Amino acid sequence: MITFPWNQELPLLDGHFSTFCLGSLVLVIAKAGPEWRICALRKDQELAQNLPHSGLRINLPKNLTWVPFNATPEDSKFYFMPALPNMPVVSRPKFPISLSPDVRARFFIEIPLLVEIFVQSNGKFLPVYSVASEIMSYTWRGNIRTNGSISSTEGELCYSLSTSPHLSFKGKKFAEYSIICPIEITSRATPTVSFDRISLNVNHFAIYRDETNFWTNTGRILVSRDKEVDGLLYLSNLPKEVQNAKKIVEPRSGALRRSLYEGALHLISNQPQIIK
Amino acid sequence: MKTFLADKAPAPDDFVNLFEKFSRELPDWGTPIWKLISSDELLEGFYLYGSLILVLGIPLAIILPRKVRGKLQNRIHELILSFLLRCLRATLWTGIVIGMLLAMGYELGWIFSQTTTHAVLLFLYGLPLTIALPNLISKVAGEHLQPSTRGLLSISLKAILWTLFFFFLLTAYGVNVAEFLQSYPILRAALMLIFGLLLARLISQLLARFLRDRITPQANMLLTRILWTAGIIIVSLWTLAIIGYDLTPFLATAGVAGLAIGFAAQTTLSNVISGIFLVNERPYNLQDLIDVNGIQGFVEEIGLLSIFLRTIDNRLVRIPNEMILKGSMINITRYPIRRCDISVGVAYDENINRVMSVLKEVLAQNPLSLDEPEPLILFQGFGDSSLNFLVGAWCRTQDYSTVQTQISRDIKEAFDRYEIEIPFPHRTLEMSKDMSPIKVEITQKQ
Repeated sequence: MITFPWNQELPLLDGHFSTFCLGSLVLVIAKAGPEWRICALRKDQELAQNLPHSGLRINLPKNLTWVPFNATPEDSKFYFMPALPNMPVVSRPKFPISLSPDVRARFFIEIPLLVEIFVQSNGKFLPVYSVASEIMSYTWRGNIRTNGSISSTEGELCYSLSTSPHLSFKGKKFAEYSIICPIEITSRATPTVSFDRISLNVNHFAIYRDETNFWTNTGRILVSRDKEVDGLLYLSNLPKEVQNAKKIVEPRSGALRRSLYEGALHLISNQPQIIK
Repeated sequence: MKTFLADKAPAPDDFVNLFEKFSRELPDWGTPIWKLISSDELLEGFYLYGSLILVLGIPLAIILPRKVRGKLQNRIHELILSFLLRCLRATLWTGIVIGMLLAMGYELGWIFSQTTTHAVLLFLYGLPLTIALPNLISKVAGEHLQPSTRGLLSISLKAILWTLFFFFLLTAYGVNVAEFLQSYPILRAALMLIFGLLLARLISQLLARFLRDRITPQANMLLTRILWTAGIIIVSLWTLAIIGYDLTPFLATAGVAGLAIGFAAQTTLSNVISGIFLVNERPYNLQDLIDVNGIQGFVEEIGLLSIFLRTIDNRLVRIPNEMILKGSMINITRYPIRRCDISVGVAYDENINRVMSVLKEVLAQNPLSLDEPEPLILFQGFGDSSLNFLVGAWCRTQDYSTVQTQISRDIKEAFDRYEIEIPFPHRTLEMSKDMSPIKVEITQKQ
């Protein structure tokens, strides 16, 4: 169940503040005259402990680090919108996953969302701040060299997501701070194909919302018979179980049918491993 | 209808007579306007024509440009519109002035002579064009040019157009410009110097812009400088030749002088040649952080003789190209990621696997430490007083210092938490039997 006040205009009086929690994130938003002030903390930080839910700004600890934004004294509303991470995401399952030929496997990858804050400024709402609900570590997605090794000189920085992709979401309770990205993987390679990470360029996914979760449209990856991985295909549909979800955020870099994002699936050799 | 062109220009007294005549011939105010207009006598005079020009012409000259602006504002470029309006205003006001003079009975046949027509046309249209065109071209071309090139283009165009304007003006008044310049070599030399240098600068900058995406920044910078220097030399020699300075002895001695200069400037030439090799080799780019013989800094400028580094503590260091070519150089920021190595030692009592597992956990917890390439944790061997490990965390190049600090701190905190001892050098003194104290026996003094 989504309890965070997404996409709702929230009022804030001058000299007051409100605190919001999502995942490990603690957000404090205050209005000080013609200024909006935002402070992002993590739950494990000492400052974040015992922060009141709302009240007068003078009651807040003095050593909060604020990020200020100009507005007018009359501007008094703000709202939150969910967003996908601003860099590609590499999902790393805890164990390599093997696929049988001609089987379509569907995975649900939980991606921690970004909270985007829109504040009123001269009557208009402007996106002024975005912060990750959970800290994701970085990883390097280097170009794959001809010998199969990964280049440390060319590639791109991504967020690393250590996860266990779920094959089904029935009965599964996803975290409130996550967006669920359904990925269909079809393998035509024989006898099996194994992979240990899925790289997703999330800039071309839209965000949908139903009563309980946020979703992206479905992504599809095809592994051909010769174990060539096709680029990620952005389908326009959602899983049939969540057809009633409504689109709330357009893709950051526009909708795209086929991504030329090579190596969306990082295949690994099927050689039997000798346990030493 | 009689002609209103007088045989000769009126004297000041004629105006008084004319006014008196008009005053006498003033129509009855009850006369209908069409009768006034059809009155041949009045049509001859200043009164009606002058009034018509004043009443209709001046509002027209004010309103028409505004209307034209309103109509064309969003249809054509602002600068073109401004030029057209300037021309229109100049035409209208000139028309009003000429009309008034004609109405007053001035003989203006001379205005329509070829010379004056050219001059008037030049002032009417050439002058606005000279003012507007440089701005227009630099504005339109400016979207594709750097600000410095845009400024240079504007200055060059202004210089060319104003020179052309004055040349045309001189020509309109019957001056032969070619002969005029021929008789003043200093003027020719000055024009050569101004236009030659502007042209050389413009060409070098446009070439730099053209090659910007095709060659490296340092090659571009070097090529631009070479071209600019060559331009200065050519223009200077040409200017001297125009003044009448004989360049033959200069060119004849250039070979010998070159040899002498070559010997004298051996180091300089070596640096220049090294610079050319380095440009070809491309071991660094502008703003790269490099290390030359222990001097670390960001490459600020790449010159023919040397490069300039801005050190991390903000000092400027000049390093001759020859030194870089002869010695070794490290480019610290060439690659987007790098490994941050930290050495750590633990006491001999500690379990090696446990220590490695704690180090692995520390690296996994740090979000700036990349998951891939995987961090390196090596047991390096037995030190004097510790078991030595190497921790190598991959990170973005710009995060290097942060990662180094954070991981060192996190390792210390984790070791404290897991009670893993970080030893300091131990010195143990042991007394063997050979080193036992010399036995001293005190005997009683006799």
